[in-house]
Amino acid sequence: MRRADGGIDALAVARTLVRNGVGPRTAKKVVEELTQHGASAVRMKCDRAISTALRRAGVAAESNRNADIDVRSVREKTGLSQHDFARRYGLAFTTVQNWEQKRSRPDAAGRALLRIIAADPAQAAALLARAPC
Amino acid sequence: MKETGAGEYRFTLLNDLSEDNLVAIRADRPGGEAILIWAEVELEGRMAILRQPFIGGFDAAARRDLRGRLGHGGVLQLVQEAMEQFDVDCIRIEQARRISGANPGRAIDNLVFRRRTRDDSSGAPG
Repeated sequence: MRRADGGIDALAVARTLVRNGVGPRTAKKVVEELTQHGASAVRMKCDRAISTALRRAGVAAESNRNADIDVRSVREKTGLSQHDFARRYGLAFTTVQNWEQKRSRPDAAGRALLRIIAADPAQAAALLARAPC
Repeated sequence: MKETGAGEYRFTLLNDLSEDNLVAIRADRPGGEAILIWAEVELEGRMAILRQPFIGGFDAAARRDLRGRLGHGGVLQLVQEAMEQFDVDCIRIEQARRISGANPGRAIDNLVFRRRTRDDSSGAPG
């Protein structure tokens, strides 16, 4: 979920989450992330009523379980070539090519990595560089 | 909901947003803004420790009203009244982060507020 430009109604967001099975502690974390970073993620059901309630509270919610991701757009935002993008984020060059040319589709782990890169390319690269092999 | 309030602020515990040590409180000032205080609370003797507090306008309208207005003096008054009404001598705020302004998410140094006595009118953080 992402914060709209006008800021969020923290209480409405928190109550929408809690009424739909999210614990208060997790709800607080989501509100903090939305307020501080503009985006957050939480595992919960998300139907139209919940999306509407969140939208009214200044939050755009979307299910990301199976959503396609525009790999080319993610890469282009980093300003890297396919080759450099693959190298920086530990992917095979041909994998990136295949994703962009729609010959194959990222699996769940690949989509999660791409979302992390889209949210913060520099931090994603730094974390991957630090992660043990 | 449990309410308390003899001073200017009225404090209301929000059960639906509280669990274990996580406490959500609505602070209302008559004719004024409503503030949401959401923090992990621990009591050490007569000191209340608020960790990772979220403090902001209670709802969208209150957030607009509060923008840039709560300030240092407003926080001092709110904290002094909280100490009076919850009968603690000290409130320590730890692991706080800015939620607004130019750099949301920036860590704020720990703050300690002491309850005013008749000889001391500051109550400022130490």
